[in-house]
Amino acid sequence: MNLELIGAGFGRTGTMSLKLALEQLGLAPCHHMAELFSHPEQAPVWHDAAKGKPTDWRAVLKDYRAAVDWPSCHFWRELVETFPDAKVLLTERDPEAWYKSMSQTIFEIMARSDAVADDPVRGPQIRMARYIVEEKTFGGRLDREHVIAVYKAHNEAVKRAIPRGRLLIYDVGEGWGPLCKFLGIAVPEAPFPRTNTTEEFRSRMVGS
Amino acid sequence: MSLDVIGAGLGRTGTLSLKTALEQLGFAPCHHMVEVMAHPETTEFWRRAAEGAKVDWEEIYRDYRATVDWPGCHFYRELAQAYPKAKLVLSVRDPNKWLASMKETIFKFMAMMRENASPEQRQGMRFIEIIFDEQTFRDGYDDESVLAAYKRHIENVKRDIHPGRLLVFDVAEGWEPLCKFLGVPVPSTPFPRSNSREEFWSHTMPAEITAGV
Repeated sequence: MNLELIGAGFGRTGTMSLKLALEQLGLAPCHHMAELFSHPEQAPVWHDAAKGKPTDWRAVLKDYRAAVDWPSCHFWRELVETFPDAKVLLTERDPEAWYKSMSQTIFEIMARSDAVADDPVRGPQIRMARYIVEEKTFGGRLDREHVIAVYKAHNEAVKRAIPRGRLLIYDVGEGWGPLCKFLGIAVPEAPFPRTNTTEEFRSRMVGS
Repeated sequence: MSLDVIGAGLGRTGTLSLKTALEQLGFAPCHHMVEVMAHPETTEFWRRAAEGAKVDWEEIYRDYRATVDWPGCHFYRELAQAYPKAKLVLSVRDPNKWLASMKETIFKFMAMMRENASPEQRQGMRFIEIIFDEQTFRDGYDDESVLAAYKRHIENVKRDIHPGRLLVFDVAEGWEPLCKFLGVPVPSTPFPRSNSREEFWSHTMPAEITAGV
């Protein structure tokens, strides 16, 4: 299998809806942090890569046709280089709304994760996610101003680096239209998937 | 209370669906590996049983009316003797699908335990290591040996249990054969289907993450 689509957008920009949409369009399976729940054995590979260990990206993603969300979006430059034929999709949403969503979901889970650091199955996954998101992406600073600045700088860097024809800047609120046009695929009849809202994330992961 | 139903089928043969189904039919509660995870204080009992010690099954099953999945299925012979009035259900499925499911769930979970667990955590899992490594899968974890172990288990159950006391059951068959065998009416609700691979992994989420804020 060969990666055909690289999602460069951070988590909480509609990446779960995007994953489901891409899979409905035939780009299945699509990697996403949720994959780590049923493939916890992948955690050390991503963790090592984030630490700078040379990584065979074709091997890591050999079973996937698309990759969105963390951890893969952290490696967008490497993936863009490794898969020159893959298109790049940048999911963007309003920075304030995005930050609010981050703080109520991913940041909250991370803040409570010390207790499970020793869990044989989930420990490595959580440590990998914290290292990539907290340390490598946000430099250990999770205050609103800094996090939003990093978010904006990331999106700008993607837009600067990827040629127009290869990049779609996309808000999942736009639905099938621009996505299908970009991928050259007919628009499905099924409604565009909308999922993993803050409420859904919290009821699944945070228990409230 | 006393065990009325003993599930002799190995894990990943639809045992969580079967547990839910039995509970809906009134054979509640039904034991399953998820019960061991919820009651870690029982792992020492299971370690002693796995080592072949003589155990009092009532220590575990006093409050249950049925049991399915590991660890109970491993002791189907002992349980059939200890509970002579209980009926046995041998859940089965396509061997290759079962193998693929085992590899994506339980075997992967065990490998992560071996790699990452602390000595205390390993001790809690000791019973399943004994059952797997030294008994059920003693010939190894290559596909051929694991499939052979699966088939051997099914043959053993059919050999050891009187046909009148045994139902060989695929959960895809739904309520009919199960209800007929147990002598209970067929419910109007659909037969439960659960514990897909994704669900298996959701059961491994630590309470600290899933607990309320």
